[in-house]
Amino acid sequence: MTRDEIYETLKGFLVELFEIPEEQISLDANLADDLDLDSIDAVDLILKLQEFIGRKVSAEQFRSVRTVRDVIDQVNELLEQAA
Amino acid sequence: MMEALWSFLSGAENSTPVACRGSRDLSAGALRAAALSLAEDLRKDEGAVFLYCEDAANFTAGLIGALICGRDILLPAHSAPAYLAEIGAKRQNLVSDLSTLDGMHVSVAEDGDAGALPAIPDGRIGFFTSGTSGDPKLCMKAMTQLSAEVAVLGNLWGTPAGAVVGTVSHQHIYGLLFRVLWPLASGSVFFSRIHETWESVAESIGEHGTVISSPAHLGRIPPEVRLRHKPAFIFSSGGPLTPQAAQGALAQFGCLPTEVLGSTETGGVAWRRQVEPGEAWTPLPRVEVSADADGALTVLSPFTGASVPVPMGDAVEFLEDGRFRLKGRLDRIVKVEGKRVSLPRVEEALRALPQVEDVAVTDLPDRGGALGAIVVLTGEGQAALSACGSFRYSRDFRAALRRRLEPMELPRFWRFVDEVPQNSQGKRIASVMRSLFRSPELPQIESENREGDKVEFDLLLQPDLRWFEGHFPDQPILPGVAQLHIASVLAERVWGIEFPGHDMSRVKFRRVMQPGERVSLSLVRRERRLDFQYVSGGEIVASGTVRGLE
Repeated sequence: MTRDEIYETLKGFLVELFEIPEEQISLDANLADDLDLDSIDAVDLILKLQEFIGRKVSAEQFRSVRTVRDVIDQVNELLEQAA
Repeated sequence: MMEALWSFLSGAENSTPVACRGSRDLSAGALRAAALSLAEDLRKDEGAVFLYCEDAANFTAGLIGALICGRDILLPAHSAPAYLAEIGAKRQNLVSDLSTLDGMHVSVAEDGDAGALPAIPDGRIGFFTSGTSGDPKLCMKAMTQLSAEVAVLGNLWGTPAGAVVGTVSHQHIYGLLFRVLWPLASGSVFFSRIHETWESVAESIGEHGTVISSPAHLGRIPPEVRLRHKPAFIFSSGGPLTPQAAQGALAQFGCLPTEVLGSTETGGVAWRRQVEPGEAWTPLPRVEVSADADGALTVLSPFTGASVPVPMGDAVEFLEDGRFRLKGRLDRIVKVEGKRVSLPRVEEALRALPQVEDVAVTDLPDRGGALGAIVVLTGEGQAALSACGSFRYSRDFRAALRRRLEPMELPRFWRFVDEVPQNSQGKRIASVMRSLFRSPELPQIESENREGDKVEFDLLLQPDLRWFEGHFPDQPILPGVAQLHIASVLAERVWGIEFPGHDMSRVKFRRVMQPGERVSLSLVRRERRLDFQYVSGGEIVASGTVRGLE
């Protein structure tokens, strides 16, 4: 899966889970400051990503994540490990 | 006991007015004549009678006619044909004053000549209420329970001095008791037609009139309406009145509303006038209130029909003088992520914000139990919303609430609306609240043209259709399975046949359909087969055949 495809999927999740308008989502958008996701939202997102990646993901692995781009990096890495 | 309820009507001179229809009086003789004539018809059959009337005088004649014949009376909440069929009303057992309904007819003329009524047996009456799920639920009462409550109203507030005007329906227990039975038993006069607007109340109300209303009406008094005469009483029931609505009625009409707490199951329980916001409730005479082990208000009275206290589902706090305050619905405590959250508490926190006019909060089982907030904004709030958009604005709300609420208590989903939806009794139904948060699964039908086994729809594929979610984020299209689903759901609506969709043939999806597109869908039924065809811009974009269930 390419990074673009991951980005599109992630956008779909953000719209579906949090009703964030798609045009507000960019690679540099900060999850907390720009998209106003809080800790509970983060848990929901991680659960969704876990489903998508097809394996257990710990909150620890997303601790350093700040922006949409960071999420894509992290998912990309996890997918590569799984492959 | 029943003597008291009907003795005035039974013994009154033929010409004594008992009701007004517009500017005309209806006489006791006319009402008795209509009741006796209906009783002739009803005597020929047995079983429960469904009674639905728009006019309360016709209704009263229907009620008495059925009681005389010893038949139970069931009161539908409204007259939509599908609803009447659902609750079991049919031509043979329906009494109505609507020419559009198929059944027995009851109608009170202006004048009439009829002797005293025969002895009226006690009888039973059933009300259809909407439970919190919204399904119709039947609640049976003995007429003696209603009669006992009317006697208490008379003891507490006397005889209505002027005519009684109602903005609420007599098909519900509060309207029936206050608008019809109380004036009728005490020899006063009631307006037979429901007064839906304050303008019509202003036209009708006479000296010392009594207004039977609800929070839905009292919260929406148009500022220009003036009443010629100050009402003796304004009653409100069906839900708590906001302090603003109570003070608004006082300022505009010179009469502070008397609120009555009650339910169909319990009958009347307590009353108050909000001199101060959140004034405590005083139990009605003959009503014993207490709290059960869960802290819920329970009621023991001759109006409940039960020999043990009946719980009401509200948390209660008693004062030393026997009055009490309600602390929110106990069934409005939900679990979010395993933690107990009080919906009234979240609503209170939102209502305290200056941008919020009104609010309802509901849990959303479809979304993992998260909370959804339905918010009516003040003018200031609306300006802010149009400046920054609903997403950004909802996040501002969340930030503002963080100071008062725990993370679990914060609504995750937001809808900004002009009005919080409620039914005609002013009740907020959880299933209706929740449906605001569900994306629609059917396109918007812009026109529908049916000829026998053929029907054609013009459809708008609105962008928020559930089917566009996730297929595909960059270029959403209407999936084939959704096209089949929409065709079979619409066909089932038209012909009442289920087309499950797995048994299909000759299905071709020629071109994708996108959000915002207008398409026409034609459906042709041949026995149990359904041919469907989607056309857009003059070309067929999808077609096929589905076989229906036997």
